[in-house]
Amino acid sequence: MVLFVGVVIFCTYAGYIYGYSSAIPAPLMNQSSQPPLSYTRKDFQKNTPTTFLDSIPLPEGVSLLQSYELSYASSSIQQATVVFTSPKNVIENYTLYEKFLEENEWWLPTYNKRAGIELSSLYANKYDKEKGLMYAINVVVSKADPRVGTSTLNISSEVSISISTRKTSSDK
Amino acid sequence: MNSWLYTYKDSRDDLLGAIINIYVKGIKLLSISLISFTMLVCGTFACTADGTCATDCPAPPNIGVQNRPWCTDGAEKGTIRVTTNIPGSWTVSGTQTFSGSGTFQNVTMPVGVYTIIWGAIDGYVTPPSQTQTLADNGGVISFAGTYVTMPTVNLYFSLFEALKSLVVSLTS
Repeated sequence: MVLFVGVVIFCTYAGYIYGYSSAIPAPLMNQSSQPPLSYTRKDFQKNTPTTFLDSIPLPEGVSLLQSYELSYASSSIQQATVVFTSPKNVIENYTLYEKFLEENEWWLPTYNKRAGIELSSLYANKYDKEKGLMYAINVVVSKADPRVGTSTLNISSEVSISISTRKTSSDK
Repeated sequence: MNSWLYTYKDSRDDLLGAIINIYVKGIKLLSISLISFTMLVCGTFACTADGTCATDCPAPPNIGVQNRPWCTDGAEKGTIRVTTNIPGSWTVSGTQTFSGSGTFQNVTMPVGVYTIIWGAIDGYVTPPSQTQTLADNGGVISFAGTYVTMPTVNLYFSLFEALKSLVVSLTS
């Protein structure tokens, strides 16, 4: 009887400790008091954003998972983003966009190239002197998650392409 | 040594030999000839092709190279803030890349376009990737990931109901 009561007390205590320690911790308070940059978001559903460069290659007939534009209140920067899935794997997509950027006079330094089987990224800049626009492009390719059933749909990777456009100063 | 490191970057061959004017707060301080794609300028305004400039780099001045605003890449920095509702993992790719885990992270990074890819957690739907532009020196952008549980319970009941219907139809 004493042993039984002891076991019950131990289990109750252990359950309490386990429940306490496994509780989801609350996010820490922000370490910076400055608020995030404010922007307005416009979604384009299945179409590419208006400020997305036409010259950037997208797969024919691609169905976009995300397509949106962010306009920042504090600057002249506009950001256009498209996200889509691809039957090509991460490295194949990385190679495709690396080649495109280099062949089209984007400035793509070696240290802005990161190739990996699970995640790859490219970051490049281009300056349009005639329009006075500076572009930055960020291409991120990640491996599709097989746990959500994408592998059965011949989807190997997910590609995110973002282009920021900024008007340069007129002090030429 | 009170000096700073500055990097000029371009990929256009036709700019080789061009004169680059360096301004600090609108005052022309230096004219240099572009002799390398990567040219370092130190606080003394000495310029070398592969310069061994200062390792001591305090806050950079408000310096810009005329007509080449991207020269500020790496000099202007802001804060990227990541939060999640449950402990997770993520990778943020842009001009530089970093990874993190937990429920909160605050990282100082150069201005630019950043994309976050969230890590998968068993039993949860992975949040979609997000892209934002760290547009301002000293600015803050915030990525918030919300993991929601996969609706496995609903599937179980659906299967259960289907099996029950099957049994009922077979027995009747």
